Amino acid sequence: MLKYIGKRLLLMIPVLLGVALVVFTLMYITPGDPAKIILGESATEEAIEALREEMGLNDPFLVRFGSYVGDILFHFDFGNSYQTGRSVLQDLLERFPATVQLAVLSGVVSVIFGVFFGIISAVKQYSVFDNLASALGLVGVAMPNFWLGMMLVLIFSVKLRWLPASGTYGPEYWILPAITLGLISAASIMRTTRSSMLEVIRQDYIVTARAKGQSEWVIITVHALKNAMIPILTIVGIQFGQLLGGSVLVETVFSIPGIGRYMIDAIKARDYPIVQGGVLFLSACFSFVNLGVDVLYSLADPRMKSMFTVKKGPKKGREAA
Amino acid sequence: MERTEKRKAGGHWAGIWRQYRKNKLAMFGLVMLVLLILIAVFAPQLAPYGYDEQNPGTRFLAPCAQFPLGTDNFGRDILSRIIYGAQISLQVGLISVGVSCVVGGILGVLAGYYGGQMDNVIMRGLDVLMAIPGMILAIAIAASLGNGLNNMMIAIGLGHAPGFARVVRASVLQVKEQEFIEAARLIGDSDFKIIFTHILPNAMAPMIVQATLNVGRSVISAASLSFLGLGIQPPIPEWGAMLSAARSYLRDYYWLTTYPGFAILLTVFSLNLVGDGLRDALDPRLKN
Repeated sequence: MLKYIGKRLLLMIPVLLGVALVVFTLMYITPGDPAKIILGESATEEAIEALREEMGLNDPFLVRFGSYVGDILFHFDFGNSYQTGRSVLQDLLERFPATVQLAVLSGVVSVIFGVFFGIISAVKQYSVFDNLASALGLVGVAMPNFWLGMMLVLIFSVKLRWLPASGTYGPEYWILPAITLGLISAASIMRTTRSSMLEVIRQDYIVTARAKGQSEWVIITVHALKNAMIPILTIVGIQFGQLLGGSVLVETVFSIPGIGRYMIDAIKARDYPIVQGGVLFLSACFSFVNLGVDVLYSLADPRMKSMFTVKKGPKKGREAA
Repeated sequence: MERTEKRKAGGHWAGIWRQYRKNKLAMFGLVMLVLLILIAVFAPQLAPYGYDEQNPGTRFLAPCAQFPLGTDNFGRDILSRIIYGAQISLQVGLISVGVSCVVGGILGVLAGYYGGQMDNVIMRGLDVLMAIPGMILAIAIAASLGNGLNNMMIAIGLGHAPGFARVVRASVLQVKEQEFIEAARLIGDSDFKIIFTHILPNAMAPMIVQATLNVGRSVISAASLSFLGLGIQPPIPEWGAMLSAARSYLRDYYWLTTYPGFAILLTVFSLNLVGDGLRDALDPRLKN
């Protein structure tokens, strides 16, 4: 098991190097001269040229990429912001807790709502509840999360005055953002949970459990859910990627000082080291979560343990994402 | 085919259509989608006002007889802007899916058909792209290309391409192993001909389903990018851009933010219903 995790961590290095190459290239081909951005439009040609030389902007692409990656690997240095000159890593770490808090809270919301309603829908298939939940699920996946956020603000902050609309000054400020981001993922998780549970509860061993007089509650939560877990875990992993991407929008709607908003502000100011660092950071988070999901597979299904001994772990894709 | 079962008229597609028609929800989605397309096509005839017709005298009017969905901060009719916005959203949805079909399709076919080294290189490349959360990848591409309709469609299309490539690869792999492909190879068909006349038509079902569902995702991505200021700029009436501009008036003028969002919701909703229906009709095994 530990060997498998170690191997996956090692495999993550080339993937993240690739991510660094992709985002570095994207920022490299972006029009605009960083030296000009730093010095402002009024700077003289000589000053700009001097700064370009100093920053190594005149070097060939591969040399620049090499030094970017080298700084990250050997000095843990993601470069400095063009605007403020502050270390990008330090800025990212400062904003990381807000993004993580949002992602974790909304992840909890989505798993609780998604799995719970999915189970009830499956157990009471074609009931009023099931139909209602399915309809809401269809609506949920069709909604842009930032719009849901604005509508929740309209209802709960403007009309009812129950919850604050923006900022992060206390626990109550996280309720609307977490629900906004969580509900849309909950819709996908619910659909998957429902269909996975439906498949499982028709199997013979469930009938056996029922025949031996096991209570319905135990049958559902212990016998059935455990075997329905693999697709649910997969969709939760996929949804976490959606959460990280969606957090950019939700942070914007609710003025949460997280990595997403930091990146968007940086894009508008053409502050590319921040964009590069932010994408790398979020991708690393996503990779770690995917690894976590793969490890959970083995806990959910002992048969999956074999994948820890085979040469290469099965790759989960974001096909459904 | 059982001999007792009378073969119904029509070919493969007629059969799929018969299957599709049985699904009420999918039919409902299709009707809504056709209506939306008609609205987009006939926007100039249907919209009561122009999408950029400003009038200082009618700013922030609540929904009324003259302006059914109210007016915005420039006194523009919101209903008209939403109607014109359908053009943009459907265009973005279709073209960006086209981009991901072409890019993802080529990569998927190459990886699936040739396998080996080619497959390895392409799949490792896709692993890298899939390690970036989809929306973040689209944001990074949009930031690199700059604002504008065309760039946004490319950004969204490329953002969805890796997922599409995987679906294509998987279904090509399945078809490739079948006997008629071997037969085609034996009679000396070229790779090109085998791919286009034998493999792709038979690997189509999952691709069509994925593409349809991606149209809805692209509409949401487009609205999201515009909302972040990385997509379409005013005064073009893109729904996400309308929401972005209306954000500051959320407290006092609810109609500015409510209706464009409903437009997105209805569009994506109907697209998803059609996608789900197609999935069930084309390939019941894909039903989850």
